[in-house]
Amino acid sequence: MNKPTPANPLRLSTDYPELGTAPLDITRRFTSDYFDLERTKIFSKTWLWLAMAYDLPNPGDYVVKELEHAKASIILVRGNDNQIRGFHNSCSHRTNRVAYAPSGNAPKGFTCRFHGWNYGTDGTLNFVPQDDLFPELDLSCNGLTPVATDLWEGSIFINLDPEPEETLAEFLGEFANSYAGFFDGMEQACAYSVEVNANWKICIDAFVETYHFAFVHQSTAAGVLTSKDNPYGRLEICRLYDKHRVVSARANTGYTPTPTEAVIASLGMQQTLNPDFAQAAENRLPEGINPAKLNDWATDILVLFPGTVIYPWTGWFEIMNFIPVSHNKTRWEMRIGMQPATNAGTWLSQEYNSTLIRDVVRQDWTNLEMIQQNIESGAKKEMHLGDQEIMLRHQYDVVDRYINSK
Amino acid sequence: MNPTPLPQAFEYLRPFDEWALASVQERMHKRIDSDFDDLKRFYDTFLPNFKDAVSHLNNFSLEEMPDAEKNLFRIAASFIEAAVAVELLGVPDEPSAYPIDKIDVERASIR
Repeated sequence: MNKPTPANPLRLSTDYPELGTAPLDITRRFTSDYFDLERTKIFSKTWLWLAMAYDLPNPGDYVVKELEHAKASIILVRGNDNQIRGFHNSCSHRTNRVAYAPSGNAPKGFTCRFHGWNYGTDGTLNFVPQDDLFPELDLSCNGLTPVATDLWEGSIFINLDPEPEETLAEFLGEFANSYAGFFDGMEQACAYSVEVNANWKICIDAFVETYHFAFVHQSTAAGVLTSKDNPYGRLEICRLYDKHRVVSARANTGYTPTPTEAVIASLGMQQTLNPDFAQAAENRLPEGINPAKLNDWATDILVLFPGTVIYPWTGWFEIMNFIPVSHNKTRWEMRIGMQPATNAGTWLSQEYNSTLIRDVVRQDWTNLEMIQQNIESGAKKEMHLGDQEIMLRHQYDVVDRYINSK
Repeated sequence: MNPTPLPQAFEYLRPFDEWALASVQERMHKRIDSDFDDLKRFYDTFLPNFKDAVSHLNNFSLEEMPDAEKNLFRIAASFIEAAVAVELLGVPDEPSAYPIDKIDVERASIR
């Protein structure tokens, strides 16, 4: 196992002096006026994670995603030609919605319930009742309004800008090719969602540092990420990209599993927070994961700007997506993806992991609503971000860059 | 009402057959609505044989599980809830935890 890193308390920020160490001004970053800028300059311009391709396994499968920040309802659909496309959920007639369920299978496309206009799974306007009433209507150019949609490693992203300034690959940048195949073969074990009364940045902030672990998660997950060598679960090896960022978390190699975890491990069905180091050593992860090749690696925290956090564990993953609803409300969705359960044992292993993670994040949410309320009270004018919170500092820096752009 | 069928070797779980719950919503609510002593009794009874139960269930396909095994599977899934409460939290639910009713869960039920 790796020797513990010599205690350099400022190891994450050493390479990034330009971010500074000053307190963060919080007087204007969380207001509704500021949120209006974020809506137009960030969420309407950048690529947004929206779903997994495995949500749409069959032609005609669709999901509808509400993006309140753009007042947009977006349909993602796998066409009968097997291609995944995104559309605004709006009829070309008088703009009503055409898809009403949050998900489903619609091989015959979408029919507006107002006057029966029908669109194919490729968005084409197929049928208009009594079309002789519309002498100027050209069906061929009145399909559903497309939304720029692209895939990266099994994730579906959209861009609300009708003419995105960069492709998804350009937006993701240098690390995009280094995750090849990681998500292959995994499917949804569990998903959670909740609307939290807190600003989207406050919410993300809680999931990109482990400084809080020994306190907030003392009863649950602290044991697997804190150790004698690393009592506070300090993160290692931060890489700040242009907009995105990643940092690695070390596991506790001396962790004593609970009796239930021990049973799960003894049956060889371990897909849990406590890594199986033997399995991890065998498991060839793509180059971009565990970039420093730590022997006691637990997971990475990969933040895709603006609001998606991916944790690739050995053989499974979590993806958290933070959708701003308003300046002080966020809808958070978490996907836990794993290899499909083949028997009761692997299913119960998934159940253990999903249950534990649920109770871990429930420990986070209570704090965030209190933080939001206090920010709105104006009691404090600034927050202090330590070295271990460099992921937050970079996020605010990138937000600033977008807000201050033309 | 017929008693919940259980595989013969696991009849000792009879006092806990009310934990044979198909959905995670039912299981998590039952956990947080239980007294800790009841969770502990369930946990203490099942833990020594949990491995045997899982090994037994592994002989059956997830798609075509007989009713008795399905009930054992459901009780085993509830055991996971009880185990998190007993082994980690020390209470049925932490008072400071975010209210469970506000969280939507999507997880396949044991049907």
